[in-house]
Amino acid sequence: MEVKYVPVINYVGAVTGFRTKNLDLVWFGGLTGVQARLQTPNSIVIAQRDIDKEFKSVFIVNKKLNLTPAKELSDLKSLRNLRFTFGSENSTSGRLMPEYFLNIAGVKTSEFKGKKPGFSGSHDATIALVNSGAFEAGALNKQIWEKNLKNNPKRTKNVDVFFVTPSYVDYHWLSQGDLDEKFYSGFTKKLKKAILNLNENNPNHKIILEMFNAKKFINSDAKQYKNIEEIGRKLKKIR
Amino acid sequence: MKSLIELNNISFEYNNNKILKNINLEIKEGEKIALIGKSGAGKTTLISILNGTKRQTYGDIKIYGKNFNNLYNSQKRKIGTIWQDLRLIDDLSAEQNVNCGLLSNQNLIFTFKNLLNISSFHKAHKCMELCQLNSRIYSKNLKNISGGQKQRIAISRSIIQEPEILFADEPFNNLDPKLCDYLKNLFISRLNNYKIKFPNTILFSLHKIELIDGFTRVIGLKNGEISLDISKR
Amino acid sequence: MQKLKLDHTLISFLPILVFLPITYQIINDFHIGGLELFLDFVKAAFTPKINNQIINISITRLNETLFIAFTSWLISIIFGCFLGILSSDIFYKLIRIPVLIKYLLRFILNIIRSIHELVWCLILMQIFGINISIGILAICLPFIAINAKVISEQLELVSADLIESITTLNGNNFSSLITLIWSPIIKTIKNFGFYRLECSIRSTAILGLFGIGGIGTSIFLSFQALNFNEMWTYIFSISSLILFFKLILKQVKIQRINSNFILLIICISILITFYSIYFLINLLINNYYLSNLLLSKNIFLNFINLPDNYLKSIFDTITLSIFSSGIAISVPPFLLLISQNKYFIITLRFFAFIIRIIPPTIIILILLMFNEPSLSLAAITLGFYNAGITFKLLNDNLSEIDRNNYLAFKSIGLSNRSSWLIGLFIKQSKSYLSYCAYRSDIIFRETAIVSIVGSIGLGWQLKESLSSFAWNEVFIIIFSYSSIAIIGELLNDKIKSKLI
Repeated sequence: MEVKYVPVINYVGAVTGFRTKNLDLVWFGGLTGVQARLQTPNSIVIAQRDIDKEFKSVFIVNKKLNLTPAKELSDLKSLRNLRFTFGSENSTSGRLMPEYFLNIAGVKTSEFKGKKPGFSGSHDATIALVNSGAFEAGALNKQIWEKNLKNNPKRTKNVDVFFVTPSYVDYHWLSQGDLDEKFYSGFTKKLKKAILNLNENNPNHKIILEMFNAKKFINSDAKQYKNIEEIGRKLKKIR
Repeated sequence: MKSLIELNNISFEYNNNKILKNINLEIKEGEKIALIGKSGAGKTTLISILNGTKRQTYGDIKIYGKNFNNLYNSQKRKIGTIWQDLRLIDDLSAEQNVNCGLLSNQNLIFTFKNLLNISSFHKAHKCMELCQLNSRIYSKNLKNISGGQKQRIAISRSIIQEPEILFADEPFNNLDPKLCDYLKNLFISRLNNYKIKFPNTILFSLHKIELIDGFTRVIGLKNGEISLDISKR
Repeated sequence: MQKLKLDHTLISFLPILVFLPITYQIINDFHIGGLELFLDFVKAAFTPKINNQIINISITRLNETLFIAFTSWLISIIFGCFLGILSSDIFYKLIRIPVLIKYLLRFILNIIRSIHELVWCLILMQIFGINISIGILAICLPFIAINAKVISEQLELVSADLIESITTLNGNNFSSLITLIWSPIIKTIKNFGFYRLECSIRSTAILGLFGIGGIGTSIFLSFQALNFNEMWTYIFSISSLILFFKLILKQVKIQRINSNFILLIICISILITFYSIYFLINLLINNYYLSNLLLSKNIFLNFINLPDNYLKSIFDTITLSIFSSGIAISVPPFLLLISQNKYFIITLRFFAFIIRIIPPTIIILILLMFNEPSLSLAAITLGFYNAGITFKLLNDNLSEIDRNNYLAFKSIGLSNRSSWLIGLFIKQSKSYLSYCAYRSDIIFRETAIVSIVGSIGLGWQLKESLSSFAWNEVFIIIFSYSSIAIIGELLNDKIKSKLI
């Protein structure tokens, strides 16, 4: 069977591409996955990574600020009046959840310097911008932060971790509900099995898993994302 | 002889100025009329009323026995005009401009061909030759052509239309006396080697009194009124 | 008379005052945080990344860009002509159909034109998904409306006398119409049409930054990865493409167009027309999402659920366009007043070119490295981008006019500056200002570009609402954009008619 990879550079584009059925299977973030599912009836949550069940974001700050790391959620208050950047607008770990935790801590996004947070567009960009000092603080995907910390010490040398958030569910594979009719009966099951069966010990599989930063994929279903949907609605990202 | 056009008590006002006052006129088939008068006498206005581009303020006009609005298109097409300000299309060539005269009896395809410069210019060339235009200017853009030549292009455009009635407003402007005489005789005698039908009935407004020679009828206009109407028999 | 002329000159310089609030805010917001990153950015311009792989990518991406730009240019010219004719007065003088159609058409075209292609692109992408044909459609919509306006304006110049002389021939009405409009249309396409190709390339690059494909997408991706060397390679390649086209168009001075060529063009146009209409109908019919959207009651102008900070966004957007226009109007004459030195002017021309080439989106992202996102920052970006355009126009026009007056004033002992002002600029100020009035219409529409990236005004609000799929908000924003643009244009028309 021929598989076509379609790179999509914006989050909303992926949602629309899924809805218009130009895409059969998409690797969605938590929020965009919920948005896509709400707009595309019968779509099926296929799987998530082992790490997605308990995913986390990190708040980072520039070292020059000499800020003592937060001990608990309410300490996020000290980010007020800083130049602060999120990642992409519709990113779960780079915007939705950090904004949610900030809200719990009593920080409104209008309390940052300039009365608005920035949106760097990507997790990597958030690190670079905070590292350079263009922004004083930011929030991003913890896993990407760790990867950068390991592989790119130059880019992280001016950055300190300020706070690691509590866990939440994030990324997942979402497929169209009618793939069985489109290809052959039992296709969706087979697809799911193939993804779940990816094994670190198989060298070919390992390459794939490494690209996803995962040890394996695990079963997942729509119910897990109920919480994300509620937060999305609260923050008006889902209407 | 049949009466072609009848004007009854025609008046024309513009901004409260009476430009034409109670004009009564009957034009018969085959008449060659010279309309004379100073500038501002109302010659151009009279011609505009005759060819239907201006509406009289009072009075009525009958052409072929009908009001202008009731004329068939086929009848309207038999009326030609040479305008004092020529009204040619500057961005087209001389021959394309002349061919525009054929719009009245040709279809849309001809129009496209003419604009694309791929139609036949055979008849246009004959008409331009009759007006003694040099063949070098046939395909020249109008911008590069002198006033006298443009004048003859406008005349050619009306000849190619082969109207039954032709109104012309100072058609011999910008032309030397020899050429004026030649063209005038062409319209009066209607004789040519190209089997082109010249208008049988003509009304030319003229500013030079010398040119009235050969016309069958001379009408003088003064301050919007007919001051003179002489028929030569 | 002399006094009146001086007034125009004064008006050209007065808007420089917008720099007072702008400078104040910029100085307040400035921080050296991103200076290092900025220096990297500048340094990278001298060491663009060049290897086989990146050249291959550039070529593929440029191909895409060219394809989108050329196709949308062609379609927008063809439909622009049709709709331009259909919305011109002359058409209704000759063809007996209700004039109501003209007003209706003009109204629809005005609305389509009042919305920037980027906004169209974002909305269409959201409804139909990302693909190249959506990019083409997004550029085509406003471009068709712009071309239609230009064509119909040119057709108004056909004199009533000429119309009378052709209509008294009493030929087929369509024949008369085509004969009358033929030359003005060909002339407009010759003078204006090719310039639109350049605009189309530039717009494609900007839409690319938002994901539609082509070189813009590569520029954005490498910028986002802070890979400046790579980014400059792409910027240089799009610049050389635009330069290349300019050089070619300068060489090609069509005197008399071959008729077979026109015939071929007409045939191709008819094919493209049918295909585009087929494509559009297909697109609209098969989209259940769109029909659901349009059928749902809450979508249209639900002013009860206004987006947060709605009024402030509107105010910001208007201020942004006023500030930017102020910069675009006053900076070029001001710089030229400073010095008439040949080398100084060459330098200015170089910078004006550079600033026209780099997409404003990238400029504002760079500025954001060491500034807070603010209205002034966005105004500076958009203002200077447009000043690049007004400068070129002013400088070109000034070099065409007779310099004798200037020399005469100089010979009687006036200073360089005064002679330039009285001898040269005064003559140009009127036409310069009326061009600027037209330019400020465009500036308003372009606020969308910087506004989306720079976290300011309606564009920002639009992006937030779109990414939340909050269609009622999207409609309100589009409605606001469109109505402000149309009102602004009416005001500018008043100003222009006073200037002429």
